[in-house]
Amino acid sequence: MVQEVFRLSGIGYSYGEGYALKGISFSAMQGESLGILGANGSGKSTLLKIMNGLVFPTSGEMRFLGEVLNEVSLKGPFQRCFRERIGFVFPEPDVQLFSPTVFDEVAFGPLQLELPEDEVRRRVGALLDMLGISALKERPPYTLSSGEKKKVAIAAVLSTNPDVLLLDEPTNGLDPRTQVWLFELLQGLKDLKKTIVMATHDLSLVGDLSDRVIVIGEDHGIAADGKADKVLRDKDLLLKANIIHEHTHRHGDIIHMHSHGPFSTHDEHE
Amino acid sequence: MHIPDGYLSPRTCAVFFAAMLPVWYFASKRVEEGLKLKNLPLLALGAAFTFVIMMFNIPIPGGSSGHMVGSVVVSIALGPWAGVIALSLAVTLQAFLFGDGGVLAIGANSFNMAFIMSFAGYYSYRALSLGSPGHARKIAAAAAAGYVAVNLAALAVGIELGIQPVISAGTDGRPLYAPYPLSISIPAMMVPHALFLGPVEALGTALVVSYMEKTMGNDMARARGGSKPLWTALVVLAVLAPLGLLAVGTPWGEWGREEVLGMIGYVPSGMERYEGAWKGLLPDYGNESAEGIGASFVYIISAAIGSLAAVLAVYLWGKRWRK
Amino acid sequence: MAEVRLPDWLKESRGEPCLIGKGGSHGFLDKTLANISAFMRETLSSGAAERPGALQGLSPKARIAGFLLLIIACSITGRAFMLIGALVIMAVAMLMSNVSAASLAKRVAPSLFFTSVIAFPVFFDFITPGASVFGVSVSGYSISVTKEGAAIALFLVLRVGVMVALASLLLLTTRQADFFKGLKELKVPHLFVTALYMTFRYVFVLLKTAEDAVLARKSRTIATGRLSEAQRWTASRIALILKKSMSYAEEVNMAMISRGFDGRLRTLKAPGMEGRDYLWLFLTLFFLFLSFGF
Repeated sequence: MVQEVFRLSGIGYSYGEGYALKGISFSAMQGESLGILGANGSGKSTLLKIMNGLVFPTSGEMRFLGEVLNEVSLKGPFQRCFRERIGFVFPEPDVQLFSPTVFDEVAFGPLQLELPEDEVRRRVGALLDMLGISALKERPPYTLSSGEKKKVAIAAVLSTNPDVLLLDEPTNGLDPRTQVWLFELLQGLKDLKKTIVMATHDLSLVGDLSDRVIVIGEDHGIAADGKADKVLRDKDLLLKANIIHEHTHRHGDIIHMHSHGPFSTHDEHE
Repeated sequence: MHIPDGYLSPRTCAVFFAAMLPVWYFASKRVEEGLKLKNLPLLALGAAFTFVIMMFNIPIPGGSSGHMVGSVVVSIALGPWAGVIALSLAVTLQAFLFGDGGVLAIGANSFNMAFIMSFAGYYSYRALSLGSPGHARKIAAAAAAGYVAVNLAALAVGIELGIQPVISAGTDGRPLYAPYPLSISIPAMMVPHALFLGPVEALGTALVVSYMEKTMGNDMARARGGSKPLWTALVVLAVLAPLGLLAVGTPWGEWGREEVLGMIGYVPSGMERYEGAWKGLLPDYGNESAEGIGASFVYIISAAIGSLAAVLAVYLWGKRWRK
Repeated sequence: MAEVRLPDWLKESRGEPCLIGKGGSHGFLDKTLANISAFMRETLSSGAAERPGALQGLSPKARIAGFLLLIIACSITGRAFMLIGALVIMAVAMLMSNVSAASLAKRVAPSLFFTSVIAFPVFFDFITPGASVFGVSVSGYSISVTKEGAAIALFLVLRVGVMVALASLLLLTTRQADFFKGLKELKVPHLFVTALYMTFRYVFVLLKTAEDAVLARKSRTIATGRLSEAQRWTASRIALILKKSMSYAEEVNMAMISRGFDGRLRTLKAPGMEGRDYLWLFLTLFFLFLSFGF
């Protein structure tokens, strides 16, 4: 039986007078690939942080593998299980790269989870090899290019072997080559039945990778939730949520919309 | 403001490390209480921020510009305790990686720039903006806090340097570290700070605080700690501690009238008298001429044996630890 | 969404060439930029640290500990020959470690110059009375250099120079990552070392913001602005950087928690020390013990 990984019921988040999120309810199943679309400031980053237990909702309830996630439950033994199973890739890699060298960075997560040292070294070595960044092993992160930083940030998250990956604006600031690389990596992780939740406004990535799309409207609530191809064809909905603009609209179907994104995955992956 | 290595005697350096250790310990406890988890990034970025503002040149009248230390801005934004840690981090990094200030002087430099400036700045700002001050009063308070804090720190530097010839002279009475007496070192530090660097710090602090008040309001001071009387008392104690330790380290009682006069005025002709006073205080082994070559040779051998034993101990300890 | 209509004045272009002439300076901007680029240059050039050499071959902890022992020894000693001894040790270490004397001199020069200026008056009899070495006398006022004064001043300059040079040699032969690793292995509390490292790391991020802010202003500065406006601008940039550092702090904290940080840092065990590490420690410790006596 496929497990339910996340269940959010009536999640709201407010700061002061404003709302970042309002009445968000959905659930995500194991192995599902979920795209969260929303304009800038729609609250999708906050939503991911809530799903990672970094920020707690001001209303509603959030469950992970059936357990309620809140400040109290995250204090106990649940914390380790939770942190081990979820990886979060931040939009800005600089935020994530706080260790002296690339090696230390990738080793940070497994060390915090108290894996044996040999296992840590084995994992880090294998990951750096897989991502083709072994040569950067001893380099300090601030000397890397932004594409390399992103790779290291992803390696640092994968080193704990999470079942669930949360990605916030994963293609932000990446050159086309690195975007293709990222797409292939995520496709591979998806085939391994990892649960992938991406918050983005990169329609091409969502269109190619996600089974299901949730659109957060400008009112900070869910504007749509359904199969990816169905939601992505609903131009009026996407227009209303300020995810596409008329210029894109004029071209009609999804395939053409891609060519207005930062790159066309279709040319290279079909 | 950064004291380099070689200006302070090792004893002075040790005293300031000893004084700063409890301050760092209490500060980290306080910060931990205020923030739910050990918020390393907040402290680190506070320190990084100090680093960066030291590179900003503030334009001042006359077409010139100067840079501020920035400790007061940091302590107003983060609270004095987090400020102490953030500024100490900045001072440590400057000493090790940029040669700004000495490695052995990290304790003293932290005391001056992190501790004195942070607390003096923060509490004078709070005292002057007691009640419900308007914007103008807050800015004035910030300017005054910047001025007071940087001048107090400069005074501390002046005293630290000025007592060196008295507390750490060689066997022949000649100064081995900072050579000037208090009568020279204090004015040398105070005049530029009172006239030039103090106003720059005041201006910079006022400008930044004014901008923060306008654009960030209350959320800029998340980590701000309250002012409990107990802590204030501890602060005062800690300020006095190094002076006390210095007093213990060097028997004030044994100084004659001339020595005290020398401390204040540094009567240079009193050198012969120092010699007398210091002969009794220092162990004899420094005096080669009195002991002859043989004694020196024995000393060198015993030093070699001592260091061999110490390295052996490190080796054995390392072996045990690795098992 | 309507099509963007460009106003007519935006379509005109300037025909006449630019005149070259003297303009106002933006001194404080250039000074700030100079500070930032000097920092970047100094920290990003790894130099000798990446080259093979005797010091580079030592384990980071032994290297740092040994240099600290030497620095302490130089602080304790009251004799010039001990300082000259340290200088000799340093010269040998420098030659064995592929460090050029020029790169070391460049780091030591500012402190040495500063100390020389400070020590200068000590030479003279109005600060240090004693046996006159030579002197001039002009219309009743006389000034002379004394033997004692010269001894005190030269000793101070020598001590400061040697201590700064030792710290610089450590820095030049140590990669930044190794430096922080070494501190951890020397049992400096991990949280402190991590905070220290993070400070170093995020200085770069904040400096990038600072640099962009200054460049953006410079590119838009046509005439020299009013002083009060320039000051307000500087304050607003400093406040912007403060705000950015606070929001960064929050995000970095979350990134750490997300990867399992719970207030306790766990790190890999350090490799042990080898024969040469012990030899280095022995030499430096021996020198320290000597300094107690001399």
